[in-house]
Amino acid sequence: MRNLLSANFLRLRKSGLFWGLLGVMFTLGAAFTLQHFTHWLKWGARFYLTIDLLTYALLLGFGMAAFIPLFFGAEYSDRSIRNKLITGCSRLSIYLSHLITSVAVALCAAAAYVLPVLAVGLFIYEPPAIDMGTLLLLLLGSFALLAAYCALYTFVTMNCSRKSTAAVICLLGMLALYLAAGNIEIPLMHPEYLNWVVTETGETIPGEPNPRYVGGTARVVLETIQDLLPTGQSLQYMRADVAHPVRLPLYSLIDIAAFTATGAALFRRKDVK
Amino acid sequence: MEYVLTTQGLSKRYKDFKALDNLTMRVPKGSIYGFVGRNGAGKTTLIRLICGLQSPTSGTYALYGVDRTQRDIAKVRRRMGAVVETPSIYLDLTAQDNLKEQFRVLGVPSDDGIPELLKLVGLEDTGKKKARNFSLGMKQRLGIAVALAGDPDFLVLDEPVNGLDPQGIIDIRELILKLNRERNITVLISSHILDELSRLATHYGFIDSGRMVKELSARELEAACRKCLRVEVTDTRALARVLDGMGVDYKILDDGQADVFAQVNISQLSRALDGEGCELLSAQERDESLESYFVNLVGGGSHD
Repeated sequence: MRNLLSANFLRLRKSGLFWGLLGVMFTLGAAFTLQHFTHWLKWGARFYLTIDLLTYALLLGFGMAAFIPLFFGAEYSDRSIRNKLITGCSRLSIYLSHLITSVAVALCAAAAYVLPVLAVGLFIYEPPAIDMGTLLLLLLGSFALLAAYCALYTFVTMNCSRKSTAAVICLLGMLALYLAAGNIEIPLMHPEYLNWVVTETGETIPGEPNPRYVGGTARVVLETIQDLLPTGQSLQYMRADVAHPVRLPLYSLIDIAAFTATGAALFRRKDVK
Repeated sequence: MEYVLTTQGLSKRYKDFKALDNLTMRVPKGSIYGFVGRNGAGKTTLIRLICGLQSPTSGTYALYGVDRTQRDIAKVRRRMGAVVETPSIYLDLTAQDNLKEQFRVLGVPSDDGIPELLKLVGLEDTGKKKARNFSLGMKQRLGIAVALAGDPDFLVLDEPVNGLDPQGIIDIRELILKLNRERNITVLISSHILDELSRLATHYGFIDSGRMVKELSARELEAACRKCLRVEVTDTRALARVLDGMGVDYKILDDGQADVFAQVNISQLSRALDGEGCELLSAQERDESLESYFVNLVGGGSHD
């Protein structure tokens, strides 16, 4: 496994795709921050640091959907995966080495994004509205989410012999998951009451109930689906507004275990040409 | 005799198509084993199986006596290298980086052996040129260099000269001979270019429709293909006495037929046989090439 990781990282260092991904993430981080910086200069608008900090959780959902099939799919298109199998590398170690390398790439790309946000943003942004402990938990949770994305795309890439097909499946799959999470989120965003009434004693009480509010079991089900979906988690991390910050990394771990166990089992039986 | 590869009743089925059918073969250590068959005969399927790229439907194989199901098979695979169909190289890397990559996979601690390997395959001057810009022959040679990265003693080459120009074919042939003679590497080559194989192989395996039709050494094949006179007589014992007396090499095929491996005077032979009370019924000159031997063996029907 160590040898395979060493080989993967060697290839990564020579890969234009890898450096391109880092460049794009850095540029996006810088662009978002500069946009807010401009607003601050013009209108004195102040933003919380968390406004852009965790946006990579969504961006890399798409970024890794392109990177993993193109980078590791080359093992099939260039047929170099044979060199590993012929010389006795186990299929499980090949699979896991690709997953670990992907996670390392995702973390590097997240760092490339966060770097300009922190470098500039620390001077112009308000401190986060959440405490440091929660922020740290969100950061760790977002890393687990990136690993879940990597596990999903590694599953597809390792079991699809065509690089371009794998890339299309991953990107379209990500888009579908993103739309699904967006559609699930809409009913969950409706407030329970249309308004709040202040009584003569100064007490605030709920006013008219919102007919579009989803409550009870339906809400629990939708929230669970939203938390389980990587894209549902991405939307929550992006806003730094996470209802269940402890539960989400656990769901990501479940996603990682499920994708990896299934993907590795299928890859083990796969006929390589 | 020690065998590098043995297969027993190996079969591979893809849905309804049986690519390999109960195939049994043995590749002797130190040999250049020519694996001959038409397109679609099952050559590449066998190579994919022994390289661990695919699993057999039934049957088994052993590398250096280690069965594919044994734990040690991974260790034994380190002793083999292969180029299956097209070379397996990263097209966006240079020749040197491709070898570095394979050295990492194999856990070779130092890159010192890379220049020697590049020189061996004649790619020492490729510099920063990416493999995608290589000619087919260069790619093929780089594929062989990658296969040699682990210093294997068993090399599997699937159609190594397919699509190469005449000079490329000569280069690959010389490289294979050099590896076999100087490094004592056992080579399994699959090909349907029989003329090319006949310049290399020390052993042959003929495959048709997924079955091994015949396995024999180059010497046996040479004897089978030797220019000879096939004679039909009434008494082969008398014929043997006469031919022994003439000091001629021959082979008795059955009670009435024999192959005589020399230019003999028919009238003289006939008279001598007559003296032994044996009649010469017919004599036919035979000159079989590897090609005609193969066609006779597997039949000459049309195939894709």
